[in-house]
Amino acid sequence: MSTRVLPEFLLLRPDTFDEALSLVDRYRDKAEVLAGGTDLLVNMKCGTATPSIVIGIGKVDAFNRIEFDPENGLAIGALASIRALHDSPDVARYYPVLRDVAHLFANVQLLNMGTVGGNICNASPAGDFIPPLLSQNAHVVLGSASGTRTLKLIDFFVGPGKTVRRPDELLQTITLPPLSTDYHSGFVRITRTAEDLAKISVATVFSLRDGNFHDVRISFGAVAPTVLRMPDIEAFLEGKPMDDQTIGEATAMAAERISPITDLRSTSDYRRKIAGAALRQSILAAVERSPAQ
Amino acid sequence: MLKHHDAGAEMVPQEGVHEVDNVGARLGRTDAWRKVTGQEQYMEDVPLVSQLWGKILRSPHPHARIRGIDVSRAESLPGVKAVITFRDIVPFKIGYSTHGDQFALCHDRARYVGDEVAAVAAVDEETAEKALSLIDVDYEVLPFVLDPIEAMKPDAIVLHKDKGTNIAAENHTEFGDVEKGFAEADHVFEDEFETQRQCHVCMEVHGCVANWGNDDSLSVWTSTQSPHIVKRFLAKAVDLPLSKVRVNRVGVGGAFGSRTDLFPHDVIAAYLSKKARRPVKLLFSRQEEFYASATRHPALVRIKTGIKDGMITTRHVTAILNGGAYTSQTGAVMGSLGWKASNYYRIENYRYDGYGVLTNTSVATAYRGYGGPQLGFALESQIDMIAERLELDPVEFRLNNANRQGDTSVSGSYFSSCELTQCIEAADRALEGEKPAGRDQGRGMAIGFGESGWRGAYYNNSDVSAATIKMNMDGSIHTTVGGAEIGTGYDTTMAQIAADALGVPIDQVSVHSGDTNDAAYDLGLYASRGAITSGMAVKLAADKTKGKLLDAAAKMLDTPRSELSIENRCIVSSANPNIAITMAEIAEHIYEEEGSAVFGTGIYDPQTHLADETGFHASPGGSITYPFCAVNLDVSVNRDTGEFKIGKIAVAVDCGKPINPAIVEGQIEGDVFHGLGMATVEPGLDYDDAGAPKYHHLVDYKLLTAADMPQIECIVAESTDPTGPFGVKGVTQLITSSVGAALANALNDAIGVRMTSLPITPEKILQALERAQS
Repeated sequence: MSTRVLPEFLLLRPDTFDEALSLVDRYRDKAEVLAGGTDLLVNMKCGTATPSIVIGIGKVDAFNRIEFDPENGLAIGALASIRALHDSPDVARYYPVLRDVAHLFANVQLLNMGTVGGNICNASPAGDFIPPLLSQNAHVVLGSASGTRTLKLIDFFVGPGKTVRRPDELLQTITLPPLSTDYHSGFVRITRTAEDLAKISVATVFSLRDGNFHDVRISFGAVAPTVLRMPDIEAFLEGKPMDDQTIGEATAMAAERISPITDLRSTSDYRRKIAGAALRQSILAAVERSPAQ
Repeated sequence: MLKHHDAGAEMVPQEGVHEVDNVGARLGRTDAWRKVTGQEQYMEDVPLVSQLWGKILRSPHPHARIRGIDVSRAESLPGVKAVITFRDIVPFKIGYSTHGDQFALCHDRARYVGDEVAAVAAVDEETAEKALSLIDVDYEVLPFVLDPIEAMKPDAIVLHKDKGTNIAAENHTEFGDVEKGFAEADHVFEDEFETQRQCHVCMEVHGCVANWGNDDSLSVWTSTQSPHIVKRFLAKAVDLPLSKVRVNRVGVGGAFGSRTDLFPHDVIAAYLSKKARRPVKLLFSRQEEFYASATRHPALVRIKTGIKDGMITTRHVTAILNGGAYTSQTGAVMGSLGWKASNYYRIENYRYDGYGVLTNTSVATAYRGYGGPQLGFALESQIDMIAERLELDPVEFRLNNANRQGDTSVSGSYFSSCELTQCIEAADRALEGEKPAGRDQGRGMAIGFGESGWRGAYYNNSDVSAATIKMNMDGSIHTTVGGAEIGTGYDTTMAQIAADALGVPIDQVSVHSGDTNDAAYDLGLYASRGAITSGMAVKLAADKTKGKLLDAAAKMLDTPRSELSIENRCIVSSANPNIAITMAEIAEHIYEEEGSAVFGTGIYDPQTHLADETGFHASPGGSITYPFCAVNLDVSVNRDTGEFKIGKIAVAVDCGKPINPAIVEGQIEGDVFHGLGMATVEPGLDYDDAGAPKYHHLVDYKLLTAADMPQIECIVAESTDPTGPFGVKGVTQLITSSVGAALANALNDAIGVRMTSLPITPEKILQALERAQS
């Protein structure tokens, strides 16, 4: 059931980070956190989200930032819009694959309203930003009234729409370690139309040492209950020459390491069939892109 | 004469346009400013004092007996002003033409998920929705049938007991001798094709704003293609004289055939307003728009073709259309499919067996192409399949069998103009030099055929349009037309015709459409008829107005009328160049001195024939003239993923004289959009095992956007047609019919697999490639 009408709810709009934390602590399961609203409001109209309280964090300046320094890498505040990421010169220079994703992301309205933090907390296996962030070895910083904790992003997801974020916690920041300038990165997303969720997505990061793969990180989206890293394939590629045969062998490993479902976007069978091809495209896209300057 | 256009070419601003050369000019749309600045008033914007919100309770079951409806809890909810069920309304059966079989609110039976069961009006949408949840309906769930083949079986569940069958309409017609034709043929080919239930997905949802006055008059604002048709049947449905019912002009946010009839929601809004004695605004949610507006007919089309000496001699087409739960336009669409098939090529023998079948699914109705896209995919795919089997060049094969000017088709359509061969050659040439050379690249063509108006819709033995022109004292003119601006550039086109017919600058012409109180009876905008029938009515009205002006001028100037003509906004004498008077002067004279008025009314009904009992029309056919097209496109395929990319689409169309090339291009692009969506990404409103539609949102049901559209080259193969105003023909839907087959043909050229069902998805291509390998 979907309606033209948002059901009734209480909207709380904290001004500060501490106020936001105390509100989530107080209301916990009764409340949903509103960042850009591009998922939450749709879900509320469809009846799949029924919060009696919505905590809108839009006024908390501390969340709205994208900062880079060469020592610590990139910090993306939970409220940073995808537009801000798209327009950040630091992102374009040091993490070009994130700009690629922002560029592909849905449409102008969602680009302007959606947030990277929301994309992660929504925890869709098809979330566009999750594979590239996983391949960048991202961490998430969760804040609560009792302090903060930092997790590897890979450990954040539990299942479709499920994360380890406790009801009293807020996603505060997403951090990415600095990426050495000799790294390549690529992202591929196979969709029905330009403005669509992925049937399958792959983000690849690696460096090439004398033409051999090194420190390979491969993440697959929309092929399992959560976005997956591919440790077997990463290990297989380590130290091997970047050539057709190696890539062919690596891509042949993909299909059996995923557990895709059939949904309205595609079929399990198709996703399995194209997993290797998507990985190949992602590697080739990464090779084609000059390493960060 | 061929004219190539790049889409998006610069438009001539309206200022400074030649005074008498508006027809044929690339003018900006008269409604453009209002629409791009948000001033256009759509249903949602209609401001009425103390207006309520209406909502419809719909059946959650595909088939159920309604044993009882208890509205007492809903009625007692504060803020609820009216709750209605079938008991509150006149038992009028809504439908198309004589095929009405749908009550606006279900009596004792719901026949699809979405069927209208009850309705409420309340002070706001929240209250109205809450009230719906308080209506208690006692359903006895019944077995249901979704598949038309199953529904045709003798032991099938019957949806409408009074019909005794689910076959709502059939057509079995033969021209020539099909059996003999096949017997004498060198080759006979038979192939089957399938198309999906494409949704119109209008940007503006369906709905109605109704205001039942205390004087028992009814005024509605409903987004429609046919204001007079809505008025005519709405008056019956609410039991008021026609003089008491008014359909007002309102912006139309997309129609494509989905707004040609009176619908249950119009009637429901009216009765809610009657009961509440307040205006009621009822608008669908996007989910309702998917399952409770209407859709294209899913179709199975089998084509048997006989070839002799390289020529197509004989065809037998069998089509089964899924019409959904109520008949609506199913009979007409099914008939149109068979009729179109008889007109695609020069053939000697033709047989049609068509079935329109009712199932427990959403109602199917008119949709851009009207049977053409289902047929075109099948017929034009098979042309390539035959050419491949006989090792013929598919373009040559089409040219050899193409219709030409002066032909009369096997079923009697007379082609007063036809530049089909020019279209084929032009579309072929347009991709020359871009010949895809690489592996997995291919090219494919398909032709298209369409109508320009249609005699016999809506009880009428007519195809009538009406217009009135009124010249003001300053020489400027009001043009009133009976159709509606549904996004096709109708108002602009009418302004161009009126301006040139009277020799008035276009910025002094205003056009009023879409209001039943303004204009005389007009069937509306469907069947690509607007430019031709309304255009002709405007021209006739202008001629009468001109006559009045010349009569008055002759008297005033004391000059024989035969010597007078209109030139440069003046009436001049051919005998004496010193005798001239401006239009404004003569108009003012008529109003001020003669105590009269300057106006003329034009009624146009083309010289066409009503279908006989076979469902086909005697020559020249149901339409006064026929447009043709050819679509040619390049595709490249990724064998690893099954994804494909269309490089360029060349569309050559014979639409007679383009009154406004920019509008023609817009129509071509829109046609390609609907055809390509159907061919590629639109899944169709599929159903789950419980009979519920699978698609509810644009997240799931994808449409192409600008980012997905390929480059389109528009070529106008201009013909000179003796019938319409300035030689115009229809151009709003025939290309939609060609895109699917052109793509399937190109894919076969690229990778050697033949796709016989729409949509063509990467998933299907990979499967087909695997089958081809094994």
